[in-house]
Amino acid sequence: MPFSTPTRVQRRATMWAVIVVLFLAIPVVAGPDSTRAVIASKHNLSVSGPGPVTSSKTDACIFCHTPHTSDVNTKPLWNHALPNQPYNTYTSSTYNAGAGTPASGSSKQCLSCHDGTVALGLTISEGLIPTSGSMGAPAVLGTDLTNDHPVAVQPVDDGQLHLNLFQSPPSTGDPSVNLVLGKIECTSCHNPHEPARDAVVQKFLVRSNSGGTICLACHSPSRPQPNMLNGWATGSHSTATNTVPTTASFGPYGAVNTNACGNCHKQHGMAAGAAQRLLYAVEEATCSPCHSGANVTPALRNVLGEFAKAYSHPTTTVAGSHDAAESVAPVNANRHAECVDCHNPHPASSTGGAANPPGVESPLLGISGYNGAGALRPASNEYEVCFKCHADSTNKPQSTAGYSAYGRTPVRVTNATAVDPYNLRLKFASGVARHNVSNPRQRTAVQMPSLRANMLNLDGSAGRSLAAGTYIYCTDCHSNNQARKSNGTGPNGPHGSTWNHLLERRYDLEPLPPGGPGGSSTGVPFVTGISGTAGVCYKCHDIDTSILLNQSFKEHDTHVRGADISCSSCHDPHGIHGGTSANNSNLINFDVAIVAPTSGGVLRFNDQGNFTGRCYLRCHGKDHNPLFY
Amino acid sequence: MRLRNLVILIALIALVAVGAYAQKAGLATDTQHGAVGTTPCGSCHTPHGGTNGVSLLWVHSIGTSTYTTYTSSTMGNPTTNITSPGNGNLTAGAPVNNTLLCVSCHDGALAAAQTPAITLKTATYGTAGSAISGTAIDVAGGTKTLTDDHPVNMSHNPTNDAGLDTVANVTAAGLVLYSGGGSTNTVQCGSCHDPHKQGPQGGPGVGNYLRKTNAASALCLTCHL
Repeated sequence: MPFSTPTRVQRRATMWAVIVVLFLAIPVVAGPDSTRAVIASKHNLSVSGPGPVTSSKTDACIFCHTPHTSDVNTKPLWNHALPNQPYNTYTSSTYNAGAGTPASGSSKQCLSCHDGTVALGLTISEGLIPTSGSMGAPAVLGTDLTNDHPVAVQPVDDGQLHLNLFQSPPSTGDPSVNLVLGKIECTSCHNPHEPARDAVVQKFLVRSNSGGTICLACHSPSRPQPNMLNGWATGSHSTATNTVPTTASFGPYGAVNTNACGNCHKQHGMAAGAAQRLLYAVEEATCSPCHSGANVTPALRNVLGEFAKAYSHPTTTVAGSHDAAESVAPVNANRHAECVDCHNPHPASSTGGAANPPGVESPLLGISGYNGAGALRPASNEYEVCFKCHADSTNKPQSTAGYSAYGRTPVRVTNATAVDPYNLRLKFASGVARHNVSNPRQRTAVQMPSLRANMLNLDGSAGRSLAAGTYIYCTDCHSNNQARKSNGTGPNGPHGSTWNHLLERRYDLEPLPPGGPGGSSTGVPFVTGISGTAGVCYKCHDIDTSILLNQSFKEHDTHVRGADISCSSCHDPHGIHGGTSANNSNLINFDVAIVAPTSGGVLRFNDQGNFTGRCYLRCHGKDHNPLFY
Repeated sequence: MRLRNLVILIALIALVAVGAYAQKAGLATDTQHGAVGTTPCGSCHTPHGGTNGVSLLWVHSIGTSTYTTYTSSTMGNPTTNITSPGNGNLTAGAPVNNTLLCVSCHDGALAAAQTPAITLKTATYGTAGSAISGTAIDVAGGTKTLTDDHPVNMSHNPTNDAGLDTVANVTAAGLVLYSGGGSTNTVQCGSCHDPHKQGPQGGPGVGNYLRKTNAASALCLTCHL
């Protein structure tokens, strides 16, 4: 009776069946910790899996977990055959948490697939479940984990890690990022069940890492100096909204502030030479993708290009000498100037902070320095950064006779008696005469009539005030020939310059007299102005209407324009070290390559009071034995 | 009683009876649970002379044993080891009875001690002819371990474990949580398994006596959010 009327019982049964079906159809709403999301992830190796590796198995969990016959020593209900491999683990000169032993921690469960040594379908409960397809190359970490963030390690306080890590019980600074039995494991950063908590990166991250949030859960900028991360929150690398490509070596998020840590660091698979501190690349190659004028929108100034100029710091020419763990100062052997010797990329900022010499400008924030007493972490003053190499270093190249990599190095009269003639810390500390780099301007306008009220920018506009009590920066003189802080078109700082001695402006030294010191010479035919032969002096000193009008030294014009003598032949620009107030006031310290002793064997200046003195010397073939003014 | 009410009562009784029959009918063709005894039901139940003190007219003896259950540091709801005090002392209705009834065969020791001895045939989660839980069960000593098996005898309480779905959703989706004897909503063998539904070849069911299909891990993910 195919069309018979259903009985009451049958109708009732049908009704219950409908109710049950309706119940079963209640949509599953994923909770905050959605294991269910694994079904739509690459970790689903079953027949329904969307990833590259699948099988004919209908159960997705079984590749990692089993309800029965699990590995009794491995939780939770572990079912994948574990690897039996020794792992090489991360080390670096600044890493102190010791070698992790991934083979003993929960990370080995992840590595049971991701080290590539165990068949993906090899289960404990069911033996080998045949799978097809293979993992993408980045997912295969191999057994060499030296280029991966350490796992199976208990954090050790190095002053840069979140304090929560050292409480009892330890935790990270972010509830999404968890320790496993007190250790960093794969699952601290990855949730194997949820592929897309970070919608951009995916990769099963435990949360979005935009802005470096996962990294910052442990690596804490809040810890005080000398924490290298201190100041991160206001640094350009965490705040700049410039966009960058999302291809390799730029980070995944498309902008500097969202890439954050990922602008420079990568958690897995960086090149072997850059594995320490997990950088994308080695030395300046880490910085060059963004700081070469390309790839960033709006574009950054081309800093790396500066190093191709005639005179530059040896950033691109010296490799393998810098180490982040090196002693701060002084740099003796292995002289080098990598980007990170002068810049701490964590707090460094292109815009923050008002220039207030001698305090470090924002690009130098957080970098170490040296002041003669010891290491400064960080440097407070810009000159302290320069002093790491240019002060007490025992290996200053200027000390080698004939050194001319940055143009001829003048040898001064006082070099013969100075303890360390090219020690700029001692020169700027001079009680005799000095430029006001590490000590404030003390001379009065009356004593120094040529001093301008303000520096002159490259375009002739007025720059920073030179008022009594102020300082000047090393980088006011030594900088890019197109430094933007002087209204130039290029990046600031002494990366490179077209001018010798890495000066911001022209500063011509006299050629060596053919007949030896004291002999006649073509000299430096004077050209005035910002771009003239003494352009760097012209920046602060009014050559035209003070010096050449002989307001201080009444023979200035005679020497400068009359005899083509350069400023450097008589003046020692940094400061007097090893001299006396009687003989070396007004930074007078003759260049002995140009100026020779008198026929009587005397080479000396005698200060006779303001704007008066005697010179004992022979120069350009003319004997001063002595000459008075 | 009014006639109409009587009709409804009779109808309800009939409904329960039909439902019960439908639930158990698979045993007739069950090649495992239905083939141990002389009759399909007789594999486990007896109308007369059941094990004293054990509910459900249980035919098998249950020894004095402690079953050590699975634990892990990440479980929000702790398990409690299952102690069988021996025949006659089980509290009728206590949720642990569900698991104890199952292990009366499936711990591999008791099964062999039955008269006649029972040999487990499934090789799905262990070695055919031995215990369902394989070598992890200590068949020689007095302590039985269920430590390589999904935890049983713990409360399914989402308040303690945010990774669990609600009791209402879990039971509505076809799984069973056992209450009684002072415990509520506990996970036992019967939470996932229905011993009367062998399936698929032996009758209604989805295989391995599972209460619902585990395709795309649907059974696992019924509880695990």
